[in-house]
Amino acid sequence: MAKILVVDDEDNVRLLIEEELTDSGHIIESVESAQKALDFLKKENEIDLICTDIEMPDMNGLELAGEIRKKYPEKKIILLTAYSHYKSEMASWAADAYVVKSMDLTELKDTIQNLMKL
Amino acid sequence: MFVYEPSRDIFKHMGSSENCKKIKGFKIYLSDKENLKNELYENKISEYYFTEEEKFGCFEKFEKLCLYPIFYSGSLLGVLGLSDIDFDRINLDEKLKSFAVLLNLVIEKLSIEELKDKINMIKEFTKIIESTLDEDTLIYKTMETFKNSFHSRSIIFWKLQSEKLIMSQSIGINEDEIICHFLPLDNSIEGNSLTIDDGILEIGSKNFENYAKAFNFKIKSAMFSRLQIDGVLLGVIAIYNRKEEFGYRPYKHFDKFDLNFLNDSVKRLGIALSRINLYTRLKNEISKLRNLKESHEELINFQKEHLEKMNALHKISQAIRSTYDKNNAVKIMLLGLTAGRGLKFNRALYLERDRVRGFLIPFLWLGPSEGEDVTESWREANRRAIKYGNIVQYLREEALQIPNHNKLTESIGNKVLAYKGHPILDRVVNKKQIVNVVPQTLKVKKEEFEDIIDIIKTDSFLIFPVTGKFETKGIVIVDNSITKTPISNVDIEIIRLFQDSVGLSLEMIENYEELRQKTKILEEQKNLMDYYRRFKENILHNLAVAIIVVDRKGKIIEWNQKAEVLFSRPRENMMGSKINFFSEIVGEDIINTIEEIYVSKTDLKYPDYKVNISGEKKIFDIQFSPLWNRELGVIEGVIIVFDDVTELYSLQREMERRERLAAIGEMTARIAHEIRNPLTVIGGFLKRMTKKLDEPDSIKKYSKIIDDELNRLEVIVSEILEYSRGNKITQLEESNLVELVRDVIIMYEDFISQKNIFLNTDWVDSGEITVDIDRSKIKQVLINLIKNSIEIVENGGKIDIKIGKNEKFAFFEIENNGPVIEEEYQNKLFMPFFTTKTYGTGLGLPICKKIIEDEHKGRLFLLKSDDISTIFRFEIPFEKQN
Repeated sequence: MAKILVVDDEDNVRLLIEEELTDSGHIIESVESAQKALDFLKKENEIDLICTDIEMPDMNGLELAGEIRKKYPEKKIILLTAYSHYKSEMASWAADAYVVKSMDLTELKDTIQNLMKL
Repeated sequence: MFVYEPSRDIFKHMGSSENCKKIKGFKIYLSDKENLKNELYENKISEYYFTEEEKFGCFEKFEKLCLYPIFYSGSLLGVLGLSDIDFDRINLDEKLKSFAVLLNLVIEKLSIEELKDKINMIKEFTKIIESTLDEDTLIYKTMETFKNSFHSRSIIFWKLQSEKLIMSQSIGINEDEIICHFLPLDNSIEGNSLTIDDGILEIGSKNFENYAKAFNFKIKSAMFSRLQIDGVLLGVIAIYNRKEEFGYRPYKHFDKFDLNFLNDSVKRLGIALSRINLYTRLKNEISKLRNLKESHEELINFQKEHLEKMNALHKISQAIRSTYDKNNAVKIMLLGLTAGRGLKFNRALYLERDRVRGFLIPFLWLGPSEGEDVTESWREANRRAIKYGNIVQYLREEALQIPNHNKLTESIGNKVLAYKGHPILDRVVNKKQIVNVVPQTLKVKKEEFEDIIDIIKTDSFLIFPVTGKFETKGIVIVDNSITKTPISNVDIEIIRLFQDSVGLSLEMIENYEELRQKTKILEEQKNLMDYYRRFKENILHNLAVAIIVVDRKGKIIEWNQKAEVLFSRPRENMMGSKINFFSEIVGEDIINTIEEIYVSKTDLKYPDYKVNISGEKKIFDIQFSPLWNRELGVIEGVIIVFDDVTELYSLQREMERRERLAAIGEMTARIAHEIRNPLTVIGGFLKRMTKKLDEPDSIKKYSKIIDDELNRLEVIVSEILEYSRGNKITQLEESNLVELVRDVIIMYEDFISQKNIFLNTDWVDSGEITVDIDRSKIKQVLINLIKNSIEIVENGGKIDIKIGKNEKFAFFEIENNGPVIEEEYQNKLFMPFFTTKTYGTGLGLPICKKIIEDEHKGRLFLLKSDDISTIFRFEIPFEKQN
């Protein structure tokens, strides 16, 4: 069981992840932009893991991951994206895991499980 | 008693019965007493009355004297002066008869005495003439004899000279007695005597009173006889005053006999002088003849020597001409000068001229050195010389044996002679003069020769220049310091010829040397040129391009190796052939283009030119260049370069294809992303739906989401279709272009400030520029143009935006000061998939162009791109027409 913050600009995607992960027994908070995520983390320090999309207006997921890694080094970060090519970018290394979006969220769930075990 | 002196016509007192000294020397003058004289000659006793002045001594007692003439055989000898007339004439006659005989005898005797003297004189005179061969001596000696024989006081030879008589020789006259050393011809008895053959005898001092006098003693009697030689008057011999104390003579003066004798003797003297003259002339003639003989002999010797030396000179010249080595030529020259079979000088030194420094530098000195056994070394030299058959051979072969250094040359050390400004050497070198130096020369001009003598250490030598046709090569100093033989005129003559001959030979050798050097250089240059030519040919043939050169007549003058390979035609077959015959190989167009080059006179390039060569498709870059003759400024032919780019061409095509594919790939990736999100959502919720089939609310909610996402998916797909097909109907709506631009600028504000770009803002106040457009499409265009500009300018760059309209259209211009778009790219900017790394994916501008021009019937173009700025502009018409 983990407290997870989901960041995605698309409402339907956010909703899907929220519901799926809640079903898996996690506590989910979600915001639609990176800036909002950082604001949220300032107020709420209980979050174990952040799951963020990469392509978003204004601040993208990679930048967000960087910021979080700087400010909250203990928190886990998962990059969830439709593109696989960001994996080769150095910035993505700030995250703990890189998961390509698919309609089957099993990979995401397994990754969260593995990260939380550590 | 009075004695008669017929020459003076007087009776002179001889003795008297009176013991009266006063009357001694008393004279009765007959010249003015014609009666008395006639009476006496008629043997009559006459009376002589004393004048008052004559009445002195015992004569005071007498009024007169009775003169009684004494005759002997008809000649009047004298008179007896008697005090009275009372005497017996007969008796007296008788008594005086024997006295007269006696008196006559005495006179005769004295005459004979004198005659004897004269004969002696003649004898003496003859002796003198015999023994004397000098004119003046003869005259003097003759005068001495005259003086003695005539018992005269003084004797003078008056010489006729320039219309005067000059006292040439004198005897018996003291210097202080002389008034004048010359006499005039017209106012002197001496002068008169020149015209008279028999001479002049003057007795009595009265006779001299009216003439010019040369001396101050009183002349009582004198004889003058002119002296002639072979009819030419020489002068006058004058004899003055008979000595009184000498012997007995009834009178103390010269007489006719003396004069005759003098004339005779003077004539003899004349003959003797003439003889002397003749003798002198003869002697002169003989000596002349002897001299002539001697000079002839000398001439013969001279000629002989000349000939010998000429021969030697000829041989030396011949020997020098046989060599082409300067060093050797100098040795032959020096050997020739010193050899016994040559010009026989003791020593010869050659000094070479250094034109630049103005020095004469000792080159070689041949001859015996100090302390050497001269006799032995010359004997040895002669022994060697004899071995050779001819002189030329001797000189040539012996010269080769002469070392470059010897004791004599070393004795000079490092001394050199400066000839510039040197009083002697400058003349030798520049005026090409020969200078013969003898000890006398040195006495006068020792300083001028000091430096030369310092080297050669002798006081007689000859310096001569070795002169070619143009300039002096050096100088030679020869001497005979060992044998001391003077340097003869023949030597100098020979040297004069020698100098020219040797100089010319040396010059010829130098010229030959120069020629050889030049030939060598030319050969080297030729080799170098050959090398370059081969090098050039190698390059030509090893080039990776085929090169064909044709001349103006269309004849092939070059066909390189690559051309052989490319067109499968050997060079040998093609060279010289007409290019027109090969149109099927190289193509008709190529042949035609060659002609164009002669007109255009510039390079021409056909890139990617496709040719079919023996069934194989080839692509060439073909370059035509005029073959200029730079000197004449005409085109001699055309160079055609075929660069086989077949491979390169396909590589390029491949690259372009790949770029296009990459662009498509990127687009696909974007499409995939756009699709993946809705697909993820749809798939995710469908899964959840299967799990929550029992929850109708959830299913409803999920169905709505799935429906939304499917809609979105449909939009995406149709956009892709529109993108690829371009037939989506544009949604035109009235929009403010200024506002649209502002929205896009806001998007890039951070980027702009980050790059510190200066962007103008005056366009914001352009007011409303409304035009019917598809907002999103135009926004896409604006994004493209603005983003490109921001990316392309440097940090701190400048971007200028202009928005405006006229009655026909609205326009947008964006200007940046980024790098220039190269001309070749400018046309391709709007071609689909054209890209360089700088300009992104290659779809941006083509899509923009399509949006503006196809969908909005407007224009998008590059206004300009230069060093100052690059401007893109689009115009959208208010009225859209089909």
